[in-house]
Amino acid sequence: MSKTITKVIAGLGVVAGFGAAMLPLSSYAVDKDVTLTVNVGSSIVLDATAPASASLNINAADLTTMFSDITVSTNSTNGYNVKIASASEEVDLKSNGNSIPAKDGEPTAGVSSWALKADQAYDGITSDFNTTWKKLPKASETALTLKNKTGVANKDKTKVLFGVATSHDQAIGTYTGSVRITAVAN
Amino acid sequence: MVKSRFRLILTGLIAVFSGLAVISSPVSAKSEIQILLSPATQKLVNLKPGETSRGKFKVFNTGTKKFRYKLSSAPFQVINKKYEHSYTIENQYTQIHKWISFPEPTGVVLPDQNVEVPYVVNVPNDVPAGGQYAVIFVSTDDDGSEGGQKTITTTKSVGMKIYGRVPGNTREEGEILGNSIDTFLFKPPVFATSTVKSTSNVDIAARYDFEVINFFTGRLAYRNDEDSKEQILLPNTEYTGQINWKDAPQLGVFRVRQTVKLLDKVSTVEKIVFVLPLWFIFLVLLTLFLSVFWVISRIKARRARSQASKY
Repeated sequence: MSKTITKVIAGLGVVAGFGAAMLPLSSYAVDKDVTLTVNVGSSIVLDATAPASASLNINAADLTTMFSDITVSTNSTNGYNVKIASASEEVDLKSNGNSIPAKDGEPTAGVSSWALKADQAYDGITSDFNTTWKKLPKASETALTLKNKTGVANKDKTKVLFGVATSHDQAIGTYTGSVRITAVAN
Repeated sequence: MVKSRFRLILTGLIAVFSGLAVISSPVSAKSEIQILLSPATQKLVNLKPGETSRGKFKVFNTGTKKFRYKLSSAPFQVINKKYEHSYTIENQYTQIHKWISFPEPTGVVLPDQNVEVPYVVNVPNDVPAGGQYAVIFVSTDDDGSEGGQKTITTTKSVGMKIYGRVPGNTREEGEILGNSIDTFLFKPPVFATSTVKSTSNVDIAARYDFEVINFFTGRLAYRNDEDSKEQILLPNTEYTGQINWKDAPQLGVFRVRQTVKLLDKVSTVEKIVFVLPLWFIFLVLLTLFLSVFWVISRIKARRARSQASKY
């Protein structure tokens, strides 16, 4: 019996010893507030796909449309501006000295011309660009505003339609041109 | 027997649905050529005549293919009250684009990489004090394709705006031309519109505080974020802007307040706004019509009964 009591007391003593040893650690623990500062800068992202080549039946006047998908993301709460113009002073589609001229108005099969307009399914399109086919401006001219949107944007989509039409006597060839799409935060 | 058959069916169903989940899980494809520019705006507030200022920004490739880029600068102005941009208009406030040069005007960025791009602003000696505005463009005409001719080649340009200031005889002036809230709306958003004008020779900031309070509960339903409270105005321009609560409910009554601050001028407008969709208005009118019809028919019926009782 006395041995048992001795063992119990010894065990309690060990536990008490551990408890006492723990006390200083918990007594001197200090809470400290740490301020974490993260500066997030403004940014803007642009992605635009170039239209694939379209096959036109040159001898029998034809009309076709292509499109370019534009995606913009920005954390600027004032939104962004997307504009489109030629990458140079040339606005016609060219092939070895022959051209398909850039003109205002919807292209019509049989009349050589090309134009562009915004797909009105996307919000933020400037009001006159979603119903009217427009001629591509030169690089030195005021670019067409495709979209002027307020608010933060996350992969905000816009689609530009390119319409191309050829005449009955359009010269055979591969016609090419270039556009420049710019995105700037507001 | 029944239990084991049940287990077999259950196992089979789990296998089928797991397979469908794997097949149908959407895979978001990264674009081939994607440019990220940061920051989107920089301020150079101390462009001293005859001195050189330096700055830098970062170009990120967030696409899947490397691209070559080239740098350029252009004037920055706005062309209407909606503040649509112009990168071709030249005036006294856009000369800075000619002062900007790039030690490394071209470069290459690999996928998931970024480059730090330095630029230099050499300010001429004889420049007027005031604001100067430009855009630095990072452009690429890489389309990620390996050969093959595209009918229309697309050049992508992402721009960073530069707001500069030449110290000296600067003038900060402006007016708040209008501040209004529409009372009756058929659908969200709830919004307030304002027009401000700058007659300064430097950029100034207009500040907007927009609050929407539920008319019945008195609780705050919406307040514009801290970050969306400011609009920078360029010299000699007017800006018409709209602050809105896009997530407003289809039906409700709210007390809406907008405060516009421009320099030392303040304009506050507060109105009760009714958001009433057309179907609700139609329902109310129909109910009203039916109620009036019922009352009239009851009156007529009562009169007919009283006349009948006389005879």
